[in-house]
Amino acid sequence: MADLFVNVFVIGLLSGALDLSVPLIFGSIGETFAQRSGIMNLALNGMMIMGALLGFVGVYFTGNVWFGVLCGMMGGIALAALFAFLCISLELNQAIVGVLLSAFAVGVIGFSMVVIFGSNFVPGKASFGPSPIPLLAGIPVIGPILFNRNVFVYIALIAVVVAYYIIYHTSWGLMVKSLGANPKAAHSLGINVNRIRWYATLFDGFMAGLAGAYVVLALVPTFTNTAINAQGWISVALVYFGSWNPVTAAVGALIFTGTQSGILALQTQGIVIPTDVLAMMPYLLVIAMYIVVGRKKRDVPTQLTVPFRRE
Amino acid sequence: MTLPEEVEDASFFDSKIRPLIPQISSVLVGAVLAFAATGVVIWTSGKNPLAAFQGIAQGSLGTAFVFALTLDRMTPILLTALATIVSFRTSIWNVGQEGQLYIGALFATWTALSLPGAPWYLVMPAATVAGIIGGFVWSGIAGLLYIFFQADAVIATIMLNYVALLTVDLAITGPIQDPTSLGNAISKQIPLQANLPIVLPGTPLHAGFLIAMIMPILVYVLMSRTTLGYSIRAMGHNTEASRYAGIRVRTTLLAVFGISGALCGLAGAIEVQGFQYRLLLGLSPGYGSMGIIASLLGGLQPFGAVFASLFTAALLNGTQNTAISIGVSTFLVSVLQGITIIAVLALSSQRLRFFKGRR
Repeated sequence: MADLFVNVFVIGLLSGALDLSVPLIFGSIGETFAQRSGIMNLALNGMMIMGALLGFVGVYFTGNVWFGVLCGMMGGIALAALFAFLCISLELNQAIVGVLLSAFAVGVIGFSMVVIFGSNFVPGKASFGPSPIPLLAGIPVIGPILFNRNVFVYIALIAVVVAYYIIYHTSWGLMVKSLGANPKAAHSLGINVNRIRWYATLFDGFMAGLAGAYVVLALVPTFTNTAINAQGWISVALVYFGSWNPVTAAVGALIFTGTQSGILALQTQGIVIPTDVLAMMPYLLVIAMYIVVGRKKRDVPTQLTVPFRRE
Repeated sequence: MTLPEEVEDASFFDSKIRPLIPQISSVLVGAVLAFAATGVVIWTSGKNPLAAFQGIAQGSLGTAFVFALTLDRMTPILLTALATIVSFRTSIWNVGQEGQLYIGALFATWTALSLPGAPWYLVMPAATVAGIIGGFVWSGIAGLLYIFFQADAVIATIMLNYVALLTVDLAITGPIQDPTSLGNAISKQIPLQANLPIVLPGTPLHAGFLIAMIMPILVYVLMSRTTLGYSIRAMGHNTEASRYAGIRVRTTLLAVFGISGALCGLAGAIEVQGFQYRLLLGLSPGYGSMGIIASLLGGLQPFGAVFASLFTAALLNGTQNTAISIGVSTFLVSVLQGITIIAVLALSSQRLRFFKGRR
């Protein structure tokens, strides 16, 4: 009995937690850089959606999953470029533009699917399978959980470490941080504030596009108009919960998806929950996280959402 | 340079109309550009853009019946736009209009279904008031999260939007499901006494439209003549300075979230009582987002929102007509509205000089 419990429940829970966390981790890494530089990118969800669309289209017409991922990244970057133009170059309000672009992306993909395929329900051509690591996957219990995952899980975990290193241990990270704290000082040192903010935003789009492509090519793996749902928004929330630290954001993501996965796995133990209530879990979790950790004092990048002008 | 002689007696044109010219011209130019861009998009998708635009005009303004339908559509959009105005002017990015609308609709439906034998003068207003309370409460939850837990307004309201839709689905597949509907997820029809009356016989135009048309006046009075309105505008400029100047920030925030939600809840109740006569998931084809767009197109002014919501409603009905007659996707409305608002916002940017006249 215990064996069955471990196999089905625990392995299911932890594997699911890791798989589901990838888009949140990618999204929160990108958003961390953008927000550290002073840009509040609320179009992240829209960028993930664009990544999902282009990733799917890329695979559909070439059969090559990696090309699909590349297309997904391009999709994210495209929307990020529009966002950056409107908010950095034209200095429009970042919150409003972000929300509008996210909503716009939903319309764009619906429209595009009909234009390209004639309908919104198209079966995918190819997808990513699990990539077991040879020896380690054989270890009982933790083997199948940790080492028999999709390749992007490994990429995501490595990305967290790399992002942490860049932000806290390189001069590049210091520069990005300075833009969010004191752009005038950075400007006086000769740093082109808006150009670096552009790069940070495009990087955010790149990561979001990657996340979107992952969802439709590896996680689900097919394209639906609601595949991304709110994962972009949750990533933004995680950046805040993690205090702009990619490691704590990733830990938050795992707690988040672990809870989600656990509640889903409860179904295998015979506990029945109505589908609507199950679907509410992520959103209620975000609200719960605000209640639990929201009051803690945070070092918000002071220049978040404030446009910079070279006077 | 203005000479002293020129300052006296600013005419009505100069004081009221001239400041609006940059705003109105950027909207017009933006709309033209957006239509042109959308025309290109339609053309590349293989359809005739001119036929599409003609279909849009016909489908929204062609006949009295169709125009009445457009005014019906305008009703919830105007209300959510006004809700957005109240929030956005405080710099609170409350984007929970959709969820607040649905919860308002849920409260209204539930109330109407709970009073089957009641006379119309009881159940009709009761359901509407219930809807207002529902929206008020739903938005209030987000407000409490914002005030006491430093939750981001955008994220909290979006999360609640999803929860609202799922809650409505839970209700209409459970307690208030229509038993004759072959398992479809729609609620029972509300009693006839709860329906809003038709104001133009032979058309679908219902009393909700009249209710909605009163609201811009109320919002205008709120924003420009009341203490709350003053607090809202002050906080929109600078929250900390307002706090220092003695403005009750927390009270204002709660009021803003509440009023915003109440307007959306009212929209939801009106949709149930005047248009659908029952609760279902397609009750709102995105009235929340359309309200946000309309409020921005109207320059965050109540009366501007009236014109902008009419325009948005016309686009909605028109594109539905075009979808049927020409076969362009129903997502065209989102694309068209999206391009329009992006173009208008871009043109209104402070970084562009040509619309600003003398600097």
